[in-house]
Amino acid sequence: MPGDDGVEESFTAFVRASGERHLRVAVLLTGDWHAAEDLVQASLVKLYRAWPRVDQVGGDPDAYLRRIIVNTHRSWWRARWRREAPAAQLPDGPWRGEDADQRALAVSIRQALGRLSSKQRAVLVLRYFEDLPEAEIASLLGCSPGTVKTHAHRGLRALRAELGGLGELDGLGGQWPPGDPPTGAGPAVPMSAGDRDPVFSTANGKSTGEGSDSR
Amino acid sequence: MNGTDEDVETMLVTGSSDMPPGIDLLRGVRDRQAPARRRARYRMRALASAGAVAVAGGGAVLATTLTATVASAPSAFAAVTAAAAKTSAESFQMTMDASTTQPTGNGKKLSARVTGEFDMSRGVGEESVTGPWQFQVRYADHNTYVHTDPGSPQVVFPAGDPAKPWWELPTGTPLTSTPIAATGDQVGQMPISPDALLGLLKSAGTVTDEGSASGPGWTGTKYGFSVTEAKSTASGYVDVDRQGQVRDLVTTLTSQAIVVSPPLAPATKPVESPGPTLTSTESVTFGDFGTPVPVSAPPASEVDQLKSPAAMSGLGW
Repeated sequence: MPGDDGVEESFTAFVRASGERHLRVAVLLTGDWHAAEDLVQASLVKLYRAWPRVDQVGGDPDAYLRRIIVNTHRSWWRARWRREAPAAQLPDGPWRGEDADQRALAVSIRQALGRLSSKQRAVLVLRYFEDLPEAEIASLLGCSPGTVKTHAHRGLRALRAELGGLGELDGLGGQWPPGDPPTGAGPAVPMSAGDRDPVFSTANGKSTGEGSDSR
Repeated sequence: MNGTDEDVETMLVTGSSDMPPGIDLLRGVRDRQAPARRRARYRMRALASAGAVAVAGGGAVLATTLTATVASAPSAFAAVTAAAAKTSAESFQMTMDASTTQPTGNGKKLSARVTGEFDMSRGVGEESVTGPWQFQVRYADHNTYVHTDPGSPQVVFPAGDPAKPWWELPTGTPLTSTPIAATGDQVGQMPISPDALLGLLKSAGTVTDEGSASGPGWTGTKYGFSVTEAKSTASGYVDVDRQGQVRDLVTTLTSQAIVVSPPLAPATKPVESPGPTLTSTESVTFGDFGTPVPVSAPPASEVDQLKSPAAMSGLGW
């Protein structure tokens, strides 16, 4: 890897393109930006080690990284070595006016998420923020799709109790608190048409579910 | 298409919208490349003030290349994903112009126009597609129904009951703006359902504020975005009005095609091989928000069930 400019370049490009989204997943899982940054940095180190393998076999690096993040967060949670940053502590910064209100709302939401169980929180984030199907969430968390549904249902109910008045605040729009999560439509797949000649379809970025991390 | 899912999503987007500047995601990888005796210990650091930029450190080979920082302003990403979530919960009219061009081969370009109306909160909608093929689509009761115009070329459906002109597609079968055609012609991989289109925005990896935008009866902000997944890259811009609704969405999708050839022998799998790079473009306009959409599923007596998308291909899988 050291000195392999092609690997470094493709890895850097991937982080530039997708890093922010994974960081947002991490802050929803961990509750604060310090821990989220640490979590994603640590996960990217693991992904970097496996990068030549991921890149060469045409794997889905987002799925790899997501699995590493989820597993690393779970191992950190079990080890409890992460010092929880005080949720009410706000950093010095340019928060003023609308930004300050936005930040306060974001912190409130993360605090409410933080009071859920780690499994419920993970299911809600993977289901509603990452828009993953239940089967994939079940694979990530090592449980059955039925258990995923249960965590989603209970997590939403608990979140409703925590954020009961949040629907009155600006910025959320729509109805809140929501009802039980329904099933959504499946992902897009090109419809094919034609006769016996070859047909084209796009490469499908399916998740391989591989990642290198201990449970 | 469901208001409840979008509410939760909006809440989570808001919960991650206050990203501070200066986060350096690649610091850990750079530190690992440094000599062991100079490797930095992981520790929490104070959030940087506005304007701070992560600087490459250490003497390793990677130092000058791994300087990626989180480039998107927190508000740009939050604005776009919130707009996608909000629009996904409303009713509106939609017009789309789509085209697909293959850069190699005969360079033929296929174009299509899609017009439709949707009430995302009720999960209903109707679209009419004209172009290389013509068909109508209805979304209702969590199903997708397709009705092809008589004589429409390109589309092959299994022989069905003439009294049942609607096909109910298997769950999860999405539709594209132009057909996946035979004999080396181009393919259209851009989706036509607003769910899929707005889903692109929700998956955006990078979002940038491009300045002001305006249209008939609205003003707002233009954002550039890009999404990369496996072998495909989608990029473009989206205009969001002051009410937080998506107004215009222009997307270019570049993807690596896979050529799927008929099986070499009966009861064997089709043969896949790398295909050309395809470029598809869609320009979508959303408007007339809040308009009632009186769409419902076709009468059951007029609907036939399509067992598999492959049944439409004629390849006999």
